Amino acid sequence: MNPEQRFANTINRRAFLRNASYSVGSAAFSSLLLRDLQAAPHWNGVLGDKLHMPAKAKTVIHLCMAGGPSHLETLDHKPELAKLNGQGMPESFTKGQQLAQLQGEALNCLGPQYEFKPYGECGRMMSTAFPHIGSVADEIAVINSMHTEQINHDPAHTFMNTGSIIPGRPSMGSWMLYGLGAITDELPGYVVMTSSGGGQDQPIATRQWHSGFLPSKFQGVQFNSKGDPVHYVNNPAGVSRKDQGELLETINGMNGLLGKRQNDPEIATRIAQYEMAFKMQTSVPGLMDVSEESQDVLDAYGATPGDGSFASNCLLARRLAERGVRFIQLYHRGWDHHGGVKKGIETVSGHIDRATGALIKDLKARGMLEDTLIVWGGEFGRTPMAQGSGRDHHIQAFSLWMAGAGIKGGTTYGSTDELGYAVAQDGVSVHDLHATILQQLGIDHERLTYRFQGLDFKLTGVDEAKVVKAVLA
Amino acid sequence: MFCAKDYEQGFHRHLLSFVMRFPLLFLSSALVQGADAAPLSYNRDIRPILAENCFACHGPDKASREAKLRLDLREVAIDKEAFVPGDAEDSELVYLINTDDEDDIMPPPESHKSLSPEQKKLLAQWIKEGAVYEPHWAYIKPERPPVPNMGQKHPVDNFMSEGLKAEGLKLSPPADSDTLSRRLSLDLTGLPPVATGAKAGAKDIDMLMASPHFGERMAVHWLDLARYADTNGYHNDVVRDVTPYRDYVIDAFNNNKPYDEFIIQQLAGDLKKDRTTEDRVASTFNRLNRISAEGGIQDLEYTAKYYAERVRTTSVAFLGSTMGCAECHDHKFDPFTAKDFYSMQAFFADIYEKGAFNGDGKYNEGADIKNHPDMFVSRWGPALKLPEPSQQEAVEKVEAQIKPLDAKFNKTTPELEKGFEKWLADVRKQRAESDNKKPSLSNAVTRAFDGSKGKEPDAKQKKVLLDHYRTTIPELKEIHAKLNKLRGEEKVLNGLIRTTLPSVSTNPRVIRLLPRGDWTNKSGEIVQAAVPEFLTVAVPAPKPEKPGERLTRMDLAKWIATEENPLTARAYVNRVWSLFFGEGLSRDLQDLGNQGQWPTHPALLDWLAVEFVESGWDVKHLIKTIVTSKAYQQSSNVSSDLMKLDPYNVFYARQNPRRLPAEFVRDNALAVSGLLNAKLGGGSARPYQPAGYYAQMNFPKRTYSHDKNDNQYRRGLYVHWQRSFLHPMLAAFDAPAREECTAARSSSNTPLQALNLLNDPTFVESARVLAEDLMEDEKPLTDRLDVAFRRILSRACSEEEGAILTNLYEKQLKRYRESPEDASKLLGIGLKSATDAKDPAALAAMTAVCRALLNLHETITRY
Repeated sequence: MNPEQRFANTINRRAFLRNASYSVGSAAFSSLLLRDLQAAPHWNGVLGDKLHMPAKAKTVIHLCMAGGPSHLETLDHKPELAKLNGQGMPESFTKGQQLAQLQGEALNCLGPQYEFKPYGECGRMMSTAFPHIGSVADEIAVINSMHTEQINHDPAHTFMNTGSIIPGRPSMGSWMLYGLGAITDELPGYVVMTSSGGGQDQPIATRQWHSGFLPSKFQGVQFNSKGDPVHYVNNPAGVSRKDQGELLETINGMNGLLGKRQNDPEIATRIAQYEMAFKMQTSVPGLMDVSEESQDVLDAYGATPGDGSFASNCLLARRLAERGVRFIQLYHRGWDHHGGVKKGIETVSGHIDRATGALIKDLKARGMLEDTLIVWGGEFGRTPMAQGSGRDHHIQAFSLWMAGAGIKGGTTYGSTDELGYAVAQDGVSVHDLHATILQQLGIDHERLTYRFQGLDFKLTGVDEAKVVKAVLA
Repeated sequence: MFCAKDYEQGFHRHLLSFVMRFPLLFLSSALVQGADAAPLSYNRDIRPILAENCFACHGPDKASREAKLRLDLREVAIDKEAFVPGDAEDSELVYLINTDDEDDIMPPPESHKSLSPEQKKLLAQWIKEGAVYEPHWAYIKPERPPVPNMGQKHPVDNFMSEGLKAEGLKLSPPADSDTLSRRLSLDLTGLPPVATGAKAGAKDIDMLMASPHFGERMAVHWLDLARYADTNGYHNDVVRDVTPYRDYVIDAFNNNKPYDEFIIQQLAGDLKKDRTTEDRVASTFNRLNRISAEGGIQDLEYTAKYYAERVRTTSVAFLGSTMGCAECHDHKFDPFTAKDFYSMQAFFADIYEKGAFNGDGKYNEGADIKNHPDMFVSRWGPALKLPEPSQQEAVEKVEAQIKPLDAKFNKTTPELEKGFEKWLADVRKQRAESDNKKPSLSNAVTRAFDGSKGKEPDAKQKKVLLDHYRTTIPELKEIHAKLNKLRGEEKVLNGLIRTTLPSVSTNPRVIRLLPRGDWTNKSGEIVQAAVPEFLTVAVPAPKPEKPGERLTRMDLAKWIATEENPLTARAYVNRVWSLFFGEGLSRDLQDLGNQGQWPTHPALLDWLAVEFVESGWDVKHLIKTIVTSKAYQQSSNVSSDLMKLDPYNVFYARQNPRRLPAEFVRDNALAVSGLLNAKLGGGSARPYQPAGYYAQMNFPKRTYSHDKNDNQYRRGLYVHWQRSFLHPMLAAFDAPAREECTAARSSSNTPLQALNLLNDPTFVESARVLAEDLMEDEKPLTDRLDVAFRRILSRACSEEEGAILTNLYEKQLKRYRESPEDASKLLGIGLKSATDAKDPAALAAMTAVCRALLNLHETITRY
């Protein structure tokens, strides 16, 4: 057995932590050093098996359309707005309301730039710009009555991901890992991938997937399509996997000797983390290597391996979900259509439509959709008023959809007024959305809390949040 | 209720949270039942129960108060017949917490809170004893408690021994001198003994605190609180130079600036009567908040965000108090009101700034940079240039050359005027005849022409035209070329000069109370600058210099930095303690309020706070007091029995091992390899970073290039601090993005850290440079290993360790002998590549050994 195999075998046997007859060269490991199993890095979640309610989802895939997708070109059908195209926006809608870049401008209506037609058996009216999403109309539940509090990208995005505009609060995925724990130890529990194109690409910050005041092991880990898929996951030049294995064996052997002398539970954790790092050095490249996927699958997604596209990321998302990653967030950064919303939508549709439809169908075919929750949407919507040929940021109303795990497909919830300006019925706040996501995971949003700065923080903030029961099966 | 931070150190430790909140229960469980037990203390025993379970609905926040009952005020509670002092049986509260009736029981089931049997007994006992209230411990001015006479020389040890003795414990033996010298060196400078020369003697403590690296070490902590970073933070997150502030902080600690003065300079240095440049640089503190240049943002929304952030930072950084929740409502657990929050904002209303730094924003009404002749308006508002003497000299030298040339160039003679008139007429004629407006002129000149539409240019336009004319005539051509070159040099030199963003006081904005924090709601009352009202019981409110004038940031600063203030010294002393023990004496470093944690050693905390203030807020004295104690110098190696008995080290019968902070993990590797560039202060440094890490940023798109000179090897605290994408190594080791004030870092242990130490070129190169040094002379491998161990771990290499490392070395040597091209690749990593090594295979093998050593848990831990 070569050292690499020996190491790999050893690290695969969790039992060695207890029996510890692990040997390195001539030095023997003592069982003393690993006395504290609790310090091992596998985290079962603060809730462990004691979920607040039966969980429908074990995995979440958040398709995060950064920049603010126009609800009027995607999911919210507004024929009245088409009639008023080019005419002044009735002042009764806009008086006293907050605007972003349209401050001080003349406000004219811009009709929807795409036809809508009924899709699926549910017959929901949806934009013809997204036929593949239309083709899974019966799988998805649309909410047309979302509203938010922040009108600029940076804070609005932070609010959508963390429930607060103040930096330092944990993101959804971090809360989820903290509550439920990891399924796999070979990959991070929370993975983020990005893609771009189609408009002014939104800058995004690591704050969006940060663990905030939660321990940093719950932070999202960014996977890159170019360079090292995870920072520093590849060996230095001139160092083979065998070399690295020998090195790790040495490091852990030395750390083991330290554990004999020094009573410090962190040592056992450190040893286990080096094992996990070594595993990640194979599991991550293995995950990213889609050569085992059939051409049919690649074609269905529209993915070209290694191109860093949203389509490739959707395929990787399925592979991540298969391998037990809890929270997967795919960004597409090209949705900020201040000008040329028609062209912009066409471009982003070209990037995301086929792959999104394919992801849902693929998950369904593999029996994974029933415990994978998919959330599609951005940080806000866009104005019914024109900004040139585009639309400005809009927080009074926007749309998103969910699918999978316990979501009642074919439902449409909430509505806006006839011009798509404000919520007319059944408004859903960002905190309501968070409460609904947590519920599907078996978590009562009121009861997953963390003490920081003397307060019990939760994802859904201070004000009351409600679960959107109407979209649940 | 225990779900919070506890798990971080292992699930089995839930118990501790309980112990820390109710130490008396732990110390003496007989207390509750025992007739001769000491009376209960409201602060220690009762308030934590009420705060946790009751105050949310029966506390200071009017908006959420139920049944008009407050349990935080004794009179109200008695008035509402919540309890009858002295009579537990007759008290409604005792009934309600013990009943089985789901409709009656308190706390109600929907709150998901519940009382333990012990807590119920404590509440009943407390009522029986008369339901005596005390003001919250942290809101009363600390008095110096007597030092217990426990036979120790050092006051800290006497306080510690008291608690230990009650438990039948004692301090651990002193750490051995190797461990202690490494501990002192890393704790006091962030660098290992090989870089500081530290041994474990008393003199070494003074030597280390006199080292300029002491200031760097202390700055790392302060910069987290001050939310210091190199970029603006919001959205596009581009560079915003405030590095002189960082250097001010380093200098302040090195010069042992009294802490009260340190506070005053940062909050109000610009308002001092005889302010110095240093005072102004220090006042950059108020402008370190994130600011936005995103398109389409509303000016007033963002000034509201900035003011709110300043209150959050000021209250946490200086007062150890969380006022953030009072932005939307009265605080639920502490007596901070929403009005307090906005009144605190009003202290900062005079700061010359705008909300939207995208071109749309407006500065305070009447603010004019002309009133501040030595400043200029930068992209990020009023800025101060701070040239180094050599830079100043160089600029002056160029300016001196420019001056005479400029005079010559601008001299007006009758001939020149005549020529100009002719040129003017010619150009006008040519442009009138030519379709494509030739000769082509610069925009400004064209505007000077065309703006007049046939009319004679006015004086201003004429000057533009004349200036242009001069550049066209042959006699001035040479001078013009020289001037252009010199002005180019001047621009380059000016670009190298660092700037900072001091506070600049101008006409204050009107501050309103914003209902629920909503900036669009203008219905709230206008508030004047004022300190939190309930604290004025302990510290009288500041009075304006002249009646009727507004209070200033200086008034706020002095009110915070007074010995009367019960929070200031305690908050700081508690955090300094945590730098040397890993935990505070009150373990919540953010918040000393009702929801914070009762100190494990309240008397010691107060004693240190008073000692600190009476020493003249002497930071070095405080630190010396801590590190000269036996408690600090004892071994961190705990017996399994003690670990079981006191897993969280509440009694300090041992030191706590601590993983090094992110910056020092880097510094340590650079220092032991000899790569470290120990330069103090200056511009930020850009170490190696994975390619494409900044790809998610925009406006503008960015690429990162690492420093290709000695700047590559600077200490971690100088690393370019990009808020939205902090350097992955710093982020992996828990350094905060500094988007907000941060009082405590977590200390995680993750696989990403392992990948970092294994594969980041900084660590690979450090290992290789160290290996080169070790291979310098002919000597046996064991000797080389001894040198390496001394440098990295300050101790000798054991036989067992030697065997493991020799095994690695030999295997690697064989492997690299077989494939020299791999050796050459490994040796080629980093700026200081060693591809010309005499024996590449041996160097590569030794590099592997050094990589192993730099990855050891012991290497990144101070024991």
